[in-house]
Amino acid sequence: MAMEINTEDYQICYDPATATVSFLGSIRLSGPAEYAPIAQLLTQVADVEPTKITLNLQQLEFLNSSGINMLSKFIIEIRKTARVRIAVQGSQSIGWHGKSLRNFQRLMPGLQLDFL
Amino acid sequence: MLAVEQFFVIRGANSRVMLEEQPSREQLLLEIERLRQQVEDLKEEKADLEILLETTAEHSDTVETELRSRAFEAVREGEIKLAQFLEAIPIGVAVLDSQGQPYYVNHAGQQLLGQGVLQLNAVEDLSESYQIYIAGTDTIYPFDNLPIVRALRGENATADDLEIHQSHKKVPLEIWGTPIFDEGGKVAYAIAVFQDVTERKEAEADRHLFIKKLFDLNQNLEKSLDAESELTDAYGRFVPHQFLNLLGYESIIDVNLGDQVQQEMSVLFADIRDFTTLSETMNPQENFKFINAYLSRMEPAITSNNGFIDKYIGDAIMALFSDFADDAVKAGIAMLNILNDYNQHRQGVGYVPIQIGIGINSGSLMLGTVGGKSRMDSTVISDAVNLASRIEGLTKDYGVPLLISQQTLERLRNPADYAIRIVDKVQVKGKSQYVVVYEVFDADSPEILSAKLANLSVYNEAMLLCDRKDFREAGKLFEECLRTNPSDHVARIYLKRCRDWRSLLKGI
Repeated sequence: MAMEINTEDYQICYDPATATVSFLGSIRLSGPAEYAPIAQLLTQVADVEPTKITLNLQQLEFLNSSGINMLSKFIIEIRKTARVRIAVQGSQSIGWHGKSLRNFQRLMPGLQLDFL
Repeated sequence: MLAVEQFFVIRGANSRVMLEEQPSREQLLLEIERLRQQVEDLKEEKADLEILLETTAEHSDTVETELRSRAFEAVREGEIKLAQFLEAIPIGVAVLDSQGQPYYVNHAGQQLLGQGVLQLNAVEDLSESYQIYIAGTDTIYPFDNLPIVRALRGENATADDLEIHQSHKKVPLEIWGTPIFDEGGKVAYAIAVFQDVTERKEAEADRHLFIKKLFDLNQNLEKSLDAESELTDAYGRFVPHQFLNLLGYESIIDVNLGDQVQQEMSVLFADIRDFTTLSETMNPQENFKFINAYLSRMEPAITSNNGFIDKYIGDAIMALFSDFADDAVKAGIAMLNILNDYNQHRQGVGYVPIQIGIGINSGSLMLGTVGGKSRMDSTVISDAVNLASRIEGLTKDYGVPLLISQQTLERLRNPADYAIRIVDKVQVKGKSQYVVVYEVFDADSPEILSAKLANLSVYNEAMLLCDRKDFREAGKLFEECLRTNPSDHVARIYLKRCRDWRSLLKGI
């Protein structure tokens, strides 16, 4: 099971010890089809994690609309199963984090949001 | 909806079985609850989708705004950087907008102008407002000649004849004006780049001054050189240039006492015969006038034959010739020809003709400088000089004008080119050897010349017999010579000698 995606523009990796998926760089893929491998990675993580998943976006400089869409759908999915909790870590110095990450709480009111 | 449909289908399928059975109230309530739940789920799903749509759109807006502001920032940063570059440039930069209003002046520009961007009423005020004057005057610079105003008209222009009058200093400037065009080809801005040319103007002034000094110096140098060459020329009349050249010098100034050189040369001595007698008939002034008239006539004969006059001794000339002896002999012949003309002139005005004797000898000469600290002269030390002088003396004895030594004859390129005959043998003073002396008679009158040439073989035979002391036969031959050429002084002298010897021998 590939728990890591490495490209020139972005890296996504899963650390089982902390149950954290970290996103780094800029992700500008087009449409759900191109985001499918990332969505799959997240689903796999959700399948193995018993209680809580942390999404570390602190070093995610840029994410386009399809990317936000993909993350939002994942959060809805998790909310439905109501099995695990989600924590999202954003950065204060990256402009879009403030607005867009807060919108995740509209989809999952219990979502833990931290800006570091 | 799907659940409700299913319910009715199930009811339909079981209608026969449950025809008589009505659904229990519990069953219905359960069904309603299930449907209610389904509606809730759908509502939630709808809400999710709405949030999703909003979230995505909002995110899209956020990111777009961010990107735009970042791009704008990047541009602004670029502009700031460019402005920083402009500010840092050590030469002045000023910009006018298309209306002629000052738009930008960089730091160096503000320093040079004494002020930055000013609000002007019109571009016509530019020179006045920035105190721009025609260099070196108190006249305001015509605004439409300013390079930046010309740039506003679309020209590239330069000027370096203006200066800025600041409160306590004047700054001379050089300005370049360049127009900046918009896409439509109209002038959007005019840029002026300018720099302080104080140093350059000073350097130019210095250079002019330097050039003038150099020019003066050159002129002085030229004057000095002229003076020196005049001096050298003047000296040349006392110490011959050729003499200096032989010593290896350009100028008399370089000559050191004791400088010397040894050379194979020919020495020519010329003397006016019976000058003492002639001189007694004239007063001192006439004497000098005569000598100078004579010498100035003789000098060209020597110089034109590559010789130089070593010295004048009263009426006598001592001249020196390098290389072959031909120059010396030709000079001697030329002197005699000049003398013939001179005598005709003298006779024409009632003066007695003069006669000269010329003796030429060749040999090794030592040329050098002699004297003490305050009086120095060039001189020639050689036996060859003494012999030349003695040979010159012999011309009087034999009544011929030009005699040369054996050594000179041997140094002629081709003796047959000259009319030459043997005359005598002389003993060199203090030495036992004899030197044969020859007469060169090319300058004789045509009749005498041809008579001497016609008699040459007889004459030579007579001289040979004489040498063998056969005076009888020799005398006969001399008589023969005298029959056709009675004016042959040498033949006459020898005839007399032959007779004397014979009578002397008879007496013994």
